[in-house]
Amino acid sequence: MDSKFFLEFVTSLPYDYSDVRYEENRTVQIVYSGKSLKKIAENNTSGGHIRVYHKGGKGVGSFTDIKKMYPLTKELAETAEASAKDSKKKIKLAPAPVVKCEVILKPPIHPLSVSLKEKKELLEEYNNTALSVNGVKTTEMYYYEFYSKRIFANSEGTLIEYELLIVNIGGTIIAIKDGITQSMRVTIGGNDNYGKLLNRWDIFQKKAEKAVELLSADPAKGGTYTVILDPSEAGVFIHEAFGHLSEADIIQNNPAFREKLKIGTKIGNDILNVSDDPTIMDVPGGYVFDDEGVLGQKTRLITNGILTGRMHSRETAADYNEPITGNMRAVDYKFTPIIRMSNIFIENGTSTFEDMVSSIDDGYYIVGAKGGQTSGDRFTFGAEYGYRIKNGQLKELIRDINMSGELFSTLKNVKMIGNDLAFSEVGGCGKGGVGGGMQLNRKSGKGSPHILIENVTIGGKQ
Amino acid sequence: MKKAERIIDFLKPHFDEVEVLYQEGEEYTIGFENSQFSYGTGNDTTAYAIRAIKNGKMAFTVSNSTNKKNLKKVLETLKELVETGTPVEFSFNKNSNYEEVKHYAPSIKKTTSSQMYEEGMYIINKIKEKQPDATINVTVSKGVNILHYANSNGIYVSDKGSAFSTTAYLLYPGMGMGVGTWSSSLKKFRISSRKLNNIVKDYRIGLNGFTPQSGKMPVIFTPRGLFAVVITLIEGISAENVIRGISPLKDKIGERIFSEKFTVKDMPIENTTHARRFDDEGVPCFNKVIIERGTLKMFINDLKTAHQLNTDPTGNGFKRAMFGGGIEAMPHPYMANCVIEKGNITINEIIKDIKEGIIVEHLMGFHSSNYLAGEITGQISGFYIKDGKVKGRVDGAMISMNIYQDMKNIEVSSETDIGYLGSSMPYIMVKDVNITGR
Repeated sequence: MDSKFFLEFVTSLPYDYSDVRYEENRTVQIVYSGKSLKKIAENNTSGGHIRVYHKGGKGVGSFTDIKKMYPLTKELAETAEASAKDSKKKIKLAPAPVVKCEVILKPPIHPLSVSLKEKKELLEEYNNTALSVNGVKTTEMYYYEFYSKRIFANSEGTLIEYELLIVNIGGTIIAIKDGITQSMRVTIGGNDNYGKLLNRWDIFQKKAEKAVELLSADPAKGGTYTVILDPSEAGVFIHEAFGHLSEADIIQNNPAFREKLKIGTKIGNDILNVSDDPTIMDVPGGYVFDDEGVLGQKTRLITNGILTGRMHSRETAADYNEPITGNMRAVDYKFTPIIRMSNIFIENGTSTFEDMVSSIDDGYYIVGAKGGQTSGDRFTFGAEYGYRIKNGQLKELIRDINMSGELFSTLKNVKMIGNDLAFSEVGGCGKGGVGGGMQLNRKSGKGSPHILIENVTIGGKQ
Repeated sequence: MKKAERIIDFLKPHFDEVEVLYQEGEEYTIGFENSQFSYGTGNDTTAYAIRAIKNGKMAFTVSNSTNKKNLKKVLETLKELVETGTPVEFSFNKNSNYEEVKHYAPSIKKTTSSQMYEEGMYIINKIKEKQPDATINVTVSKGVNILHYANSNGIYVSDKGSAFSTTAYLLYPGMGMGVGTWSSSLKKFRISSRKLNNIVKDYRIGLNGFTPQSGKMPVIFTPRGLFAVVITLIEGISAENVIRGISPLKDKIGERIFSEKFTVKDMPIENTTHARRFDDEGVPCFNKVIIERGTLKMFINDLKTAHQLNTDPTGNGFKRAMFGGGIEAMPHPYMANCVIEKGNITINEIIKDIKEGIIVEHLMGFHSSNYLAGEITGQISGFYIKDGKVKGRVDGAMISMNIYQDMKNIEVSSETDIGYLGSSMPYIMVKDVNITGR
């Protein structure tokens, strides 16, 4: 589509502010289930999303047929106007620079330059590597590539043509013995470079061996412990426990949380520094412009334990009277942009892993993220495996670990931070309930050094 | 000629078999946060998924434009994909014995955004009358979903469904969590006074937090809390997992797995918002018993697993998953509408006999559980029971159970409500469950 068509359309509208985002999306998926090729697919879809702000109200909506863009826009403007009549609070947008720009990605090896056959063969090799490990029952392995060509135009004159691209190989390795089932997740890639997927057999081999080893491990014992989280798990912790509450739309209409999370509040120990940074382009959450036409930028969320920033849209920035940050993103045209973390991470501290282990009398070393969830200040997340720590030493392997906690007390319980910051190659975050349905965003990065937390609740038999 | 049939006619000369699932959707949602209107979202989108077979290999693609230029692109994509395609031995559906389902209310089209706004404000005002200080979030949604299925075996079928739904959520003071209520119907309705009264009652009870002592105790899953049990069970009864050898239920047809009080049905042929005439492979859906009085009666199949097991498909090939479902997913065995048979004891009678126990409304982080093995873990959002009375909300406690080991001793309530994955779910009490608390 011609980008000027959208700019002309949106600048001709008689509303206070409007924007349109039009996308052409291509997804390639290859899936192996055990030895069998389960799916080979290429999807090509297109569509747009409109936002209308008028007289203090707003309406948003999506279309696939361009002819429906016109009646939909009118309907959304009516919604905006009608809703504003009864609402005490009038929606405003913080100012943002007018931009005319084109963003073309140039990865060292562009996935679009690699044949489908080569992609399938690479996935098959990694899958066979995992399946060849004695004791592995089956696998579910995928190749995933998402390429999105987007046009963003707003009534202020901004016109941006930009690309998003992410490629991953990953999946689950399952081992079963004597009625015990254990699974390990593995993911490589996470940016726009196909080259990052090459020559990675070792990780599939090691993860498969670990899945088998876990069959002989004991489950975690429920209780409250001091734990060390590895960078992968600590990344999930900061994403789930703190990151979501730093997304301004989550707490915008929750007076209690707005009070608790005022800028300048002491939220953690002095050693804790947390940032969100979309300008780190080689990890999953990197991008140039967000889906509201705002340049992505690093935001320091916690500095020396004090809350110093949060992630914003133009709407929430105006509401909070804080700076815009460029965090508004939509997974595709079916969705309105919402505030998302880009690459959230705990910055390096000064402790070593050995210092942490030797400081614990009875606890766990927890390894490998297995997903998490947050609701308000409560969070829960799982781990792939762990090790018992007794009297300052790593002991036996442990399986089936799930832990939970409350944000404010847990952040204060982060007592040591390592000097070995690492980002996960896997992105992925589900967020719903703000402006519509669940959006599963693969372009969401997280990182951390090893961290030590006291008083963490671990579920399980006592 | 219908669009789905036109696509088939265009593609079939190039392949041995071809099918299309064509989806048209219109949705409109308005949301209120902290009792104020927050957003209106309208979607009018279409998409279609095609599977094509040639020389024993299958290709899959999704697109959403049916103009000639795009259809030519779809054809070229399929031709390239099928060269390296998925080896396939089954054929697309040939069965056209579809049952009628009435789950479309034409009046949904006439429901205006201002009427939806009024329903939202009604809910907020009614709650405010009883609990003026509550932070209230409400959504009101309407939707029409039309599915067309066609294939080169001459099958064409379509189905149209409507839904109107409301949710209300009250946040506990100073917290990001609270209590909620969910209602849905085929057409616009007004939320019942009973539901509004109950949510205020639950909110008031939940103002006090309790962390139970760690140990074993009875746990009651509410109709919505049962989502964790149902998702875990679906993994067990999926013929795909049985064939892969990773279902704990493989080789257990005819065996007692659960309490005799546990009967689970898949009921797509009923006039509710959960109804389906056909699955995402065009196979006719039908009602069936999966677990009868605790005994496993059958597995659920799609076309592929039915062929592998040399049996008939059960109309359970759906593009559904806990994460990542939708038109771009491949169909796999999943339940259409899970219905759990009610018992003959009221929830109040169940509660009054509990010395110390838990009510589970939601399990945060459940998706991290080892649910393939039947394990359910997660942080509890729900209520604490002491000496036969619901005393307050549960704070900071985790559950750890295995549905195949722990659900041999249960009680099932006589009341039911809609659940997350089904139209009729009771409350189920599991007698001895590990809880990690204080």
